[in-house]
Amino acid sequence: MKKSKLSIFMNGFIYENPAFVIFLGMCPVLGTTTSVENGVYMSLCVLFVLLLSNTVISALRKIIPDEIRLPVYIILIATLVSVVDMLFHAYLDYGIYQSLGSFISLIVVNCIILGRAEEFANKNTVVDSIFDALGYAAGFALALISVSFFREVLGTGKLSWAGNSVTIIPEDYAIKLFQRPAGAFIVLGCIVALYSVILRLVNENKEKKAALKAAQEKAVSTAEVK
Amino acid sequence: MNKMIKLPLFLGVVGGLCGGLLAATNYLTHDKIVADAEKRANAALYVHFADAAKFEDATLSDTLTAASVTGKKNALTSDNNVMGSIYFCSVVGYAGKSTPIEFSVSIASGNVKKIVVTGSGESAAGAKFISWVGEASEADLNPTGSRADTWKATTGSSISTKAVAIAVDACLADYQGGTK
Repeated sequence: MKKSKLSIFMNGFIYENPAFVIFLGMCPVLGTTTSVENGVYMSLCVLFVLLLSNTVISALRKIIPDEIRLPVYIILIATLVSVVDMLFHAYLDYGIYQSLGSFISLIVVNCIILGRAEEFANKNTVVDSIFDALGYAAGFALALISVSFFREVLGTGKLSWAGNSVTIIPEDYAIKLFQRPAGAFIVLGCIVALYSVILRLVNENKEKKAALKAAQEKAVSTAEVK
Repeated sequence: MNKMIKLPLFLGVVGGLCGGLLAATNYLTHDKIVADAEKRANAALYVHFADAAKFEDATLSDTLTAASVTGKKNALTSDNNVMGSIYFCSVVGYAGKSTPIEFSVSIASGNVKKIVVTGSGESAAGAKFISWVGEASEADLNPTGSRADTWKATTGSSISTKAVAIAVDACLADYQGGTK
């Protein structure tokens, strides 16, 4: 059955969220999320690479020989990552570029990118692949930004952007642990737990509605037969 | 076509196209990346000459070396005209040889513009002089009388003031004796 564009998008964004549900690309989620600014720029990196790699691979899927599809994907993804690395180096604030550090280059081996190329773009149309890339990139951004939001607020007491900061909680009450890797695991664990509960409730609600609808349809058809 | 040829050829074409894209991106960003790196490396120099287009190394005379001057750079405009010079000095103050006073002094139009202290182990009157000289106005840095005596009268420091003043006087003499 052909899926709608919205369901393709929502699949990556919510139901198969790469960081919260299928746990892919965890290195940047844990490593770069010390501030919301870092989270946003890392999300933009992944969006750029995922969108272009999905689009190009989907467009070329019929001419890429099956035997060498993985080397071709890797060459394409590595090129796109190098392009975004050079653009960020040239035009992004150097402090942010440094704090993202090697995580930009490591997008080459991010399972989300290669996974979507092999799993989706290789088998679907360009438009569907674009929606898939947007959904997964948005889902990854949701994870990066939510983890970095809690880590920055709890770890520094402030929210910063481009050198300006707003105090959310007094600095004396900030817990420095949240700025360290251990803090990233704690925040991620709490968010994943909450996300799982919400996702389960949503799915149960959906199933109940579907069952109710099926029962109503059955009742109507039985009445018509009688 | 034989797969032995087709597959490497396809990979070669993909590699060539990707190489072209990388070359184009490098062409677009290389100059800016290099310029920014140079600007970061020269950040301490822009404190003296914020409008300078670039800085070039200048040779040190024996007189300057004897006066504890360790380096000299000229600030240039985009037309390669010299705006002024920055001298880097390391002099021994009251705190002694183990913690010398390290500073840079900029000179333009025959006057000392600014002194930035980058390291010292001074305390008491010496420390007062160090904090004062970093914020001193151009008029304070260019007194009509002896530089060492005027600064000593202002801050109460004698040994450190004298060491810095001798180095600054040597830099000024070098600047005025040059082609500026």
